[in-house]
Amino acid sequence: MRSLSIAATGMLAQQLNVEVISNNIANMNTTGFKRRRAEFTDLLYQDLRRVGSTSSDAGTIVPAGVQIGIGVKPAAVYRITEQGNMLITDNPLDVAIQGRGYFEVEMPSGEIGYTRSGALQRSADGTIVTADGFVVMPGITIPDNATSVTINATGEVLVQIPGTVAPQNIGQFELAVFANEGGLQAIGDNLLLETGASGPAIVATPGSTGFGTLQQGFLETSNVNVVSEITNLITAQRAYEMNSKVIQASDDMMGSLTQMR
Amino acid sequence: MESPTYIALSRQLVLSRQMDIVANNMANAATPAFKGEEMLFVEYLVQADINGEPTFAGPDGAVAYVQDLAVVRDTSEGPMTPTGGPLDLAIHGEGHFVVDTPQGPRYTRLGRFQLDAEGKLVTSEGHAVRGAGGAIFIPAEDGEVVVASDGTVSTEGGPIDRLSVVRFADEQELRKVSGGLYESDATPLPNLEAEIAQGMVEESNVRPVVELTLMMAVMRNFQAAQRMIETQDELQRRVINTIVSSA
Repeated sequence: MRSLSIAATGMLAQQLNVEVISNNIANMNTTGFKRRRAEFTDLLYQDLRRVGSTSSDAGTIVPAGVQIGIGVKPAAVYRITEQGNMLITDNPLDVAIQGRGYFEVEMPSGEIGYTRSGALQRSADGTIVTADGFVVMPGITIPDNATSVTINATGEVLVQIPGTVAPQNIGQFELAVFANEGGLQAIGDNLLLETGASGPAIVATPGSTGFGTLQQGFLETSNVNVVSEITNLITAQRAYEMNSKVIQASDDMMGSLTQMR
Repeated sequence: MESPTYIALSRQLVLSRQMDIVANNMANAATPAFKGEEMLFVEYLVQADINGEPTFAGPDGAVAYVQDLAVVRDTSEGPMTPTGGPLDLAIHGEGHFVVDTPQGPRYTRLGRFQLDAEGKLVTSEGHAVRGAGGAIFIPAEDGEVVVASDGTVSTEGGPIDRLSVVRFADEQELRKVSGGLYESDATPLPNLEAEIAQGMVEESNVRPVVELTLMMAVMRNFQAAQRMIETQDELQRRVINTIVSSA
């Protein structure tokens, strides 16, 4: 009976769904995290063409005949890039991106990673780095004697040096955008890598047309909505159960067949 | 005298196929834009005879086997769920998007689109979505994409193209291929009245309660046909025993 394996594909799909949902809930407090959504599509169809289905009353009812689908498969796990909430922290090196764009991060391997987590820090020599100590491009060093740091909406970093009146511009952050944000590859630690599917990074200063702006003293929270995740979890669990009922019913049908003399 | 067994067997065969359809509906209860299916049964009349002579006279002389003639698709609209994705598009009302695959044009109501590396609007399998002027390219540096309810795609740089939405004279004629796509030999008609909702996804229109109930009915009917075969078997055994003992 096909229905056994069809229901099995349904159970496997719902299992993946629960895994994606649990990862979202686990990351509900991860800065800059974007929730994922498992997406399913129907599997192949088998045509059972038999006499009668094609010659039915001059084809008036349904000329399509009998087509039986053989289940469901995961199509993709999307990253939903909706903006997260802005959380006020008053930390001068917490920078949230309002709108589109990613910070460029130089990783130890020399590759460039992209992140929306703007919880930045100073390294031992004053360079602005991520929480993991990777340099945020283009590599801005805050002088030791600076009394305050200001990062404005367009990404300029201004410091106040004792003895000078006007704040001093020590660098400019840039943001990267992609034709297909969903194609970026997540490698953990809030970092994403450019791939063939994402398209090349397009870099510009924050606030340019089509780019977001920076907000100093804020962090972007994850965009996980706990209520909808829990609802999805309940739906997924029930769907899993219903598919297991189909397996039971098919089993009962086969059981009664084996009891036939 | 085997007719009752074969009639019950024809019932069991179509029921096991109906179970496949129910299982497929249930497995796809969470597949966006999936359309539930049900089986259409018909009588298949055969003249019952003994050595060419009709067993019963008149119009009731035939025995009726059951046959699953066709699978009918429930084309009603599934519920809409907001997703927040700017390229998640749902069609409210009749109509299908047109997708260009290597095998030719395919039609779909699954509007979970994205941009590929060149900025082309594609499905999750990478097939181009057709607009009035062919594939739709959205420049990455143009910012927010807005899709109006008539299907016009525009960005901060102005309108780009209009999504083509088509309908068919007979929707049942569409054949399902995998991935939420349909194929058809019929010529699609443009549907300019279709309403496009941005940031929405059409869910599966399968109602799990209905399918569960149907599943139980299928199982019990299968067992009932089973009883019928067993009873017929018992009957034949008794006939044989009676003839043998009286001989």
